[in-house]
Amino acid sequence: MADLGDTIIEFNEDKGLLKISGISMMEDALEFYVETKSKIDGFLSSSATNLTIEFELTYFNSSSAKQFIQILTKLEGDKGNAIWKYPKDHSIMHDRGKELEILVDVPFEFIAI
Amino acid sequence: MFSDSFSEHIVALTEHDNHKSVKKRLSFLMIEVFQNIVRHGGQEEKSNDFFGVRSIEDSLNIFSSNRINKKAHEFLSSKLKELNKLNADQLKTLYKEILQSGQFSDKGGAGLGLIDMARKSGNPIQHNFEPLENNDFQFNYQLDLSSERGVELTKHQKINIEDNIQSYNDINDNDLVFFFKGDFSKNNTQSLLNILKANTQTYSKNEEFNNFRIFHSGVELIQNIARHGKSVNEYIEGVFCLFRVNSGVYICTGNSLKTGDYSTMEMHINKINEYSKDDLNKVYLETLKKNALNDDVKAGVGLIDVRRYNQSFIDYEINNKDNGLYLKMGVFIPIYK
Repeated sequence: MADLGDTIIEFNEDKGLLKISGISMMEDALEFYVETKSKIDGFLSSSATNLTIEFELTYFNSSSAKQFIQILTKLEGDKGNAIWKYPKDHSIMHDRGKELEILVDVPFEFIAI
Repeated sequence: MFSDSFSEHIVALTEHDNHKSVKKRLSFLMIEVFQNIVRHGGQEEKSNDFFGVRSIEDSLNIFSSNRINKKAHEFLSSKLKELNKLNADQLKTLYKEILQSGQFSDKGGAGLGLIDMARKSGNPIQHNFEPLENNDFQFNYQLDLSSERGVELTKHQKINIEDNIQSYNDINDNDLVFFFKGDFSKNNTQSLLNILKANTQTYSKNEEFNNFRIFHSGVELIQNIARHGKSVNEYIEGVFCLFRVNSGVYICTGNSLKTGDYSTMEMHINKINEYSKDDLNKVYLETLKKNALNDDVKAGVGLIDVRRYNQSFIDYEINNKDNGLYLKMGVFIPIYK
């Protein structure tokens, strides 16, 4: 069944870019992001390149927020940066990104689209 | 007003192991009835269209109500009277005759849609017309079907249409927009959220904040049921409803609790309700940070979010029910102009 929005994860290891886009509202986010987290670990341990994680979401729930913190924490210690793209005029999605920024020691860039 | 887009989600919601054998017929009939509302239902902003599906032991019924004009009333009342007298073979013959003579139109002038519904449900179509102003009528009808193919239900297996009309009137009186009682396990929860999303999604800038809060509160409360609800044979029974109130909407949920969750739940909600408005943002960050790196606990910020975005208290009540505990929760979501 087609959902009104899916979570799309694209990992381009050559460019060192992980993109999480769409809508992230699964009930069991822990299970959903297990694979992504192990790919990040694999990338960071085998590559000299920094990792950029780009978020382009229209919505995320609280269990996704927790997973995002876990994902972003992996970049702490100058291992990468985050780009937070949010729908123009959607101040809540901007603010929810700002709250993640406060909780991790990773450089954030905010882009309205 | 109904939009066509969520018929598939409604269908997904009613998929149930007990009714596997009727799944196809049920889906077909639900879409047929639902689309009749979309096609023929009132176009007014506050039209009282209604669509509902109920499952009771080995019978299911689809109930629908919409406003029709005098001409449609004349057609439907004579057609339904005629069809309800026919048996399965006679209906089949009539269906073929109309198809061959080609006398049907897009609006189903020959009643082909009705004949098909009568055939697939295998039971007479219960119906009733209530006179309204301007010579219009409220048209209520109901399809009954047995979980066994082709079996006609006995009188006591069926819900009388009057019963559904009563529920419908109660729902209208309370400005209830959406009501779901059933299984809150994983797949169903996703369908519920899709329905909620379809109905809180607009693209106007002013409504973005309102829509976000309604949707987000619904997501967190529904997922709380999926997480904390008591599961019996992999079935988590719960209730979710959303109704309009003065200057906002009210969301409420109900579910049985897993054992031992009573004091945790009560303390958790009381604590969240005690925080001041200013504290809530801080508490959100602290809690998320504290729980983020521990996989054994949940994020724990769902209810904090519900409270801080809406600036409302979480209403709740915990009662004894069926040798266990039952949690009712509600939250007012103000709609800002």
